[in-house]
Amino acid sequence: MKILGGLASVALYPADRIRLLAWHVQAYAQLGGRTLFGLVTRPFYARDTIVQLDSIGVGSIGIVLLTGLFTGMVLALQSAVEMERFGATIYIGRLVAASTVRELGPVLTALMVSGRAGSGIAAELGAMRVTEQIDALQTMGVDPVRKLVIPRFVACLIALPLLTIVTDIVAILGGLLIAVVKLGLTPELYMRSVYEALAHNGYLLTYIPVDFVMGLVKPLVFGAIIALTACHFGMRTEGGTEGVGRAATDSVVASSILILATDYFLTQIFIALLIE
Amino acid sequence: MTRIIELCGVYLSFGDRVVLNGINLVVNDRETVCVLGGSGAGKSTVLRLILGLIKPDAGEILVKGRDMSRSPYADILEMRRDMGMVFQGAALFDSLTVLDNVGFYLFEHTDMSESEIADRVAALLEVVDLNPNDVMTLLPSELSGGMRKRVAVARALIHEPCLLLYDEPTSGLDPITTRTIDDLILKLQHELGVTSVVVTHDLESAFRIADRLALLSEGDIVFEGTESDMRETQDPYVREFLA
Repeated sequence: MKILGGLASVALYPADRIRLLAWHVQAYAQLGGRTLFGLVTRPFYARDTIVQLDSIGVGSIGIVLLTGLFTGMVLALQSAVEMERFGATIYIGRLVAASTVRELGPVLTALMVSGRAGSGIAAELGAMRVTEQIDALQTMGVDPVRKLVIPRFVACLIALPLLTIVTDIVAILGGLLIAVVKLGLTPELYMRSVYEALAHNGYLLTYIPVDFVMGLVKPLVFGAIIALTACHFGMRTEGGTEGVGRAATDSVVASSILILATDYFLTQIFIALLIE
Repeated sequence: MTRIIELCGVYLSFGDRVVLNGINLVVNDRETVCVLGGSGAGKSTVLRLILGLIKPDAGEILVKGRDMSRSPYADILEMRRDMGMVFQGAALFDSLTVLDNVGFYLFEHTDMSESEIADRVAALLEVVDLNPNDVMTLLPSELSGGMRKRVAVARALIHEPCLLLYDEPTSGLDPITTRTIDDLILKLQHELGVTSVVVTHDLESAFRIADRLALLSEGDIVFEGTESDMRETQDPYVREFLA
């Protein structure tokens, strides 16, 4: 009997997982809907938004600088190995710029911010949930979505594109450092190659490189994903301090997967709309 | 007598576990009702239902005649402005000072200036026997357990609610601080005419402050009455609880 019971629970296991996943999707969508509605209706919490912008945006500059610098340097180094064979090292700037501005800049920035700020948001809101501070907010007639979620959401929407620009610039400069110091290219040659890469896919409204548009729309979407995912897991924390840790972990895992998957679909859309 | 709270046939379950099995409870104006019961009996759940933080599976929860379980969210937020809640762990906002915690409601919902709010907070801190000059600028982490509870009471009172809900207000406190909190609850009832629902498992404290007592067991209210009714009843569960 015991074995049969065990088999039954194993058989039920995937069904429970699917039910839980469906519940998360529903709750996530509800939170997203309430957040979007809250963006266009009063009250607004401007002061809380500035505090969050400082915490999420300014606080992430350090890791974003390091990520950009080393990514650009590694890209230049790795591509140099292959390109030297064909005598094509002058195109290193092109490779670094194209891959950074289109993909690596937005994605790596989002993953780093998700790990640093997203986990922090989930842990902070989780701690507020288990110590009944979110209930206290509600009892005082304050909507936690407006007070806690929307300021973080707006801060992520503003911070992510700006941080991505920082990553892009620093990565290109990192590539420049390797191109000049290790490969003996001139800065002019490298920068011309960078410019060619950005101009390659044409311009939108005459002056804005299409790659640049792609590279800045993605972080907007990633910012929304990071904020909503972290707030979703944080606001639904259960099980004391253990639950807070679990919320932070789940938030980073879920937002990382969502960022990577969304990146693929966004790239498909951009290629179809802007490049083909 | 005006009814402030009416719970009519409230049923609530979490999964297979029945927490409240169709309970009925009335709290009248200016009355202090203590809800007693063992751990996990559903006492705190009653408060959360009254606040509209959770919805019952069946039944009505009327607060001043308006149903908390069926009203839209915006109305519930509005109705909560008539209520104050003292949470078991005080639930003070970690990142805010005592001034910002106690004055939170006024900062959020009124146009009062910072100095006006500070004056009001100082006056309330004195009501709960705290020296405003000593504690106003402190963070919750710098307060003792008893002080946190008193700050939580002050925060619940700042908007002069007609209904105060206390979740285990004396749990984890020493006997002297427990008595101070009890005296404070009585003072608020007598001086400010506040209606109170106090959830506790501290019998001594309950007898000191309650006009009426309700005992919860396995999802049902098995006893409701005054202290003397409770001491005289022959109900075996109540006798066991009192022993």
